[in-house]
Amino acid sequence: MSSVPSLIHPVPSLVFRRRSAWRRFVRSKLSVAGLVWLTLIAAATAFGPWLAPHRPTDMDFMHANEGPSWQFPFGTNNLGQDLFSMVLYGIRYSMVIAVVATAVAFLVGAVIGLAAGMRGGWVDHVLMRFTDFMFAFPGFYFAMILLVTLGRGMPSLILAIGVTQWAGFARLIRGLVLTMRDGDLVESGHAIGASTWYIATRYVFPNIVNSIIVYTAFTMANMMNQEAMLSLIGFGPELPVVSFGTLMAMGATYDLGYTYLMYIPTSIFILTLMSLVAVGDGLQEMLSPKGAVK
Amino acid sequence: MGLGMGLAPDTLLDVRGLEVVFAQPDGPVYAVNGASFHVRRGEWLGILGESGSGKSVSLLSILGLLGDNGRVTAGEAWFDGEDLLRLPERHLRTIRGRRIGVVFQSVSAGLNPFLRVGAQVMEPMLQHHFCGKAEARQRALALLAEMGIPDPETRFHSFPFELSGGMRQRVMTAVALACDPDLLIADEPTTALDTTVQVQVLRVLRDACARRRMATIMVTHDIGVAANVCDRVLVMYAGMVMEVCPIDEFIERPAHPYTLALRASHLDVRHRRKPLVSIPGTAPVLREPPRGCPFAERCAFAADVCRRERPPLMPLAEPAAAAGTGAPSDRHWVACHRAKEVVALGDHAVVDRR
Repeated sequence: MSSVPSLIHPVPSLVFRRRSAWRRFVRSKLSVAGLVWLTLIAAATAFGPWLAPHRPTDMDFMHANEGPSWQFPFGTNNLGQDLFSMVLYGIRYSMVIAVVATAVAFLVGAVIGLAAGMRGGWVDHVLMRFTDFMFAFPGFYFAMILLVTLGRGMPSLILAIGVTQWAGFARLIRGLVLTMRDGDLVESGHAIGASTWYIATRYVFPNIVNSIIVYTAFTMANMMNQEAMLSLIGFGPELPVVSFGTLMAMGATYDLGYTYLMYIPTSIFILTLMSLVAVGDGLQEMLSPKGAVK
Repeated sequence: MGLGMGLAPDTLLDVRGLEVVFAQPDGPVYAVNGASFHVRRGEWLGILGESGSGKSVSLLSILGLLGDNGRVTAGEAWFDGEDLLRLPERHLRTIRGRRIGVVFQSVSAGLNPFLRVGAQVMEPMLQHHFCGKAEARQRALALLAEMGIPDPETRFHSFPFELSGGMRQRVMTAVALACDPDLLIADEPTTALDTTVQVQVLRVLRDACARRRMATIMVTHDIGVAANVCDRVLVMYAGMVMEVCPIDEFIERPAHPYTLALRASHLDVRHRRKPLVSIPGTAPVLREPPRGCPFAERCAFAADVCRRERPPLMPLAEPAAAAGTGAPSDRHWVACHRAKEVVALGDHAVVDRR
């Protein structure tokens, strides 16, 4: 075989690029493990109520405080409620909050970041001072006040933990926009007479979305953490609705003798957080242009 | 102000006394210092000059495409009865890409990497509601074919990274021509291409412009390119118009020492061992508006008057016509105190005084 490259198909294909990016992700075993775990969590989120062998509210006093068994895979609590079913419902609750809160934070942050970066001048100045204020704001305690004011429950939780998190997105996106704003691509968008918003969404955003995806993974981990901490100190959903945080709180408070009630939900939570970070790292490796030349 | 005379009725763009200042952290930079020029319908005007002479900046400024730190401080730019420099951005946007097309130098960054070629050519037509989607598609295919892109049906669905530099430049030209503009501004359209491709692209561009009777302003630093395609040339230095004349005058009878020097430093493959001529020094970055002639420091003809007084842009040989009654002369204008001597010496001046 000659080593002269073929001249017949000199056009690189998108498929090839995708595959090499995937290869870079797979290179990190930790990221792959994280992805597998997150897939399980996603499945639990989507199908939890249908997978659960019991209703989480069902009490079976004949089987109270039992360790893991075939009938109750994660054991039961002092009311004879099935921990496995409660975990499935808890995952669903916490994940929905994390995803929705992240989406809201992203949307708000993207609008503010794009506007500040593209417009510049006093718009940029005002928006970024507001963002700085949000950064400095003790969001966690503000979230507690908000939950007391609005009442507990999912919408208030989403608002409470999402309301300050957009600041990170805004700052990140503004910075990325600034690297592109005076570039040739944006100029060519202006040259065809496109509006600033059109250029921001169609020209700038697709070029910076990689970095945002990575940040999104970390933000989601942060959101889950916040929700869990709020639930742990008693601002979570009210029973019988359960979240990760309330399950951990339950395990930590009145079932001191039954350690599996603490260990199981907490381990699942820790694994989920770590997986999010590992997948975020993997995405960074995969999407970074530097990775391609390594 | 400006040329101080009436203009031919088919004048499309008339720029007068344009001044552009850039705010830099260490003070202002005077990029364009009272540039005046015009272009007629169907005419091809070349703007020549070194890097940093203000040729691109003056064109970008009339399109409102300067960066945040650039500001137009004086001048007018009349385009079809409207002063572009005084139009609000919203209104200017309806002109860019619709009535004035722009082609940039960079073949790598001028196209959106996430849009297919066809969508990119259709984009200006859809943005300006020039025509419906189906018609835009047909027009885009026709434009790609006109630009000499083989197999446009297939290329329509390609991404920019799948194309060569020459092909990308053709796509960018198709984008600029999409809405049948009256004026095309081409900012070094072929500089990034190798010579053979350069010629192909230029030929396609020239034919397309001729077919539409479209006026073209082409910024270039390649005298060969300018001599081949332009009807008139304008030589810029330090943001001022040094000389503007038809291409045959530019070749036969240059009247500015800077024009002479530019011509002399152009390499010619047929003259092996011809002495290599360069202009001593570098183009200035003006921290304050120029007082005398900005070229005086590097000029072999410089006299005291050159450092004292800024030479006005004056008609060269036909003063009667310039002041006159009938058709005003736009043949040959030069901004040099010693133009007559330069014309008399011609190309000998450069070699002798090297």
